[in-house]
Amino acid sequence: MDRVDRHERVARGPAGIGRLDLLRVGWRLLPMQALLHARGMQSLAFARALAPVAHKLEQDGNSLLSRHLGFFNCNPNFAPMIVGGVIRLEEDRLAGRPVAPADVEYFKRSISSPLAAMGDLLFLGALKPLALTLACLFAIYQSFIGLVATWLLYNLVVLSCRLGGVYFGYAKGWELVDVFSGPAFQRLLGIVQSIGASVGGALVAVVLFRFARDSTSMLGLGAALAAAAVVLLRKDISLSRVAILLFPLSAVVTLLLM
Amino acid sequence: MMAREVVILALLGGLLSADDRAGWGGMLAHPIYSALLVGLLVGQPVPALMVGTALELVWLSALPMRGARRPDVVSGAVVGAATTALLLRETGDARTLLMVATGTAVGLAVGEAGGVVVRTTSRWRDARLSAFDPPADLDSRGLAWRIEGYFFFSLTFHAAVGAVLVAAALPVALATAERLTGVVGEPLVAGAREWLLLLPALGAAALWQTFAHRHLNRFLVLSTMLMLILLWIG
Repeated sequence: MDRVDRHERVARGPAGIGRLDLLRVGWRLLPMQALLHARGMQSLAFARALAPVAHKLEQDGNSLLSRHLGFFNCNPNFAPMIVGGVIRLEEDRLAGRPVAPADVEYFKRSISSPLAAMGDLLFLGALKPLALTLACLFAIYQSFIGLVATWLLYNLVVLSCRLGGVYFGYAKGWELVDVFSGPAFQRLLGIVQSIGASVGGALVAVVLFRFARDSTSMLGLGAALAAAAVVLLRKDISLSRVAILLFPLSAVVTLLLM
Repeated sequence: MMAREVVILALLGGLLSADDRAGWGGMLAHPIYSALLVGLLVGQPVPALMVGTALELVWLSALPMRGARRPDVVSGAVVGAATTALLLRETGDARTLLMVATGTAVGLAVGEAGGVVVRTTSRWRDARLSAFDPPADLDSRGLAWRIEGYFFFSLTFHAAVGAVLVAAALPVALATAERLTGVVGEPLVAGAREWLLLLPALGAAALWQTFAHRHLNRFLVLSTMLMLILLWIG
């Protein structure tokens, strides 16, 4: 399908689903984690998102929403693409194309797990640490403009995925599987991780430099604490609790040294 | 501290909790931003931001990964930042670093306790949502309304837990911090300062743990060295 066709498709499909309908679906997906629960995970959120287009996609009194109440679990930033893809498949089914309800369910189940893993890797493993590291750097130097810019940039990416994902998934349909099968995602992930590692390195340098500026003993103590913390993290020990324990300990050590 | 301020901060805590657990994860609920918001509300943005930065650095290792048992960063940051900001404003104490260290310690403790409360109460919310079982003959319109009801229940639940946590913890935290900072002598002030200055080491460790992979090591090490040289020259 060429670019022009795809744009026409998004503007008005065979079931009369327009841009505004997809925007309403995307809007309802923004707070999708509110309905997260152990039994169906994001199943209720999935059905809730489809509500604005349900009347356009139903035939023979068959409730679209009840068919989409099954288990669904994905990264919330990538889930909108699946919802868009499902709307497209449901629309194809309505238009008489050979798409059975079982095919739609197969599409949902087969793509949700890989996208969940990819989304977690990209957002929780790379993009969020990168944004928070940048924010910490700006906060250390008390740059309020930098803090706001980081927040805006991060939200631009997240909202593009959440709102734009529905359009993208709708335009792609089955092709969504091919998009994520290629090397493009790995390349993108590699780039974001490299930037994250570079910014992370800058923050580590700032921390070490501040220790060194304070005193040599502080540098030694800070480096030792960081090394110990890496070991503790590998053993799954909470650094938050370590920090709480260190509070009275540092007071006792200072008292003993004076 | 006026009751009106507790109510405003509790409402902020509720809104941020809803954003953290039900919103699109736009980072506003992260300590660095929530503490800044608290600081702007109380009129002490810089010390509040210092608390938020320290908490963020410690909690960098506790990002909401699947199945992770993390502290309640919202109540921790709101209470910690508010404690520091209110203490500085009310007492006029010039020992800013001590106040920031106390607020950070209070924030860490509230975050840990809040995490337990949130995990425990969330089980009840989860059970309610898991019990969703609409009649088979319900049409899409009826089903949509029923789901909407569950959505508002869940959203309100998250906000209410966050607000109650802040409202309950803030007066206790403030009273404890006031007593603590009122009795400490110079050695303890120095100890608190050292502790606060050492906290970023935990953030550096968390970052190292996040990005230290075979193909990323070179970026991490190179940028560390480059930045160190730049800082040394500057």
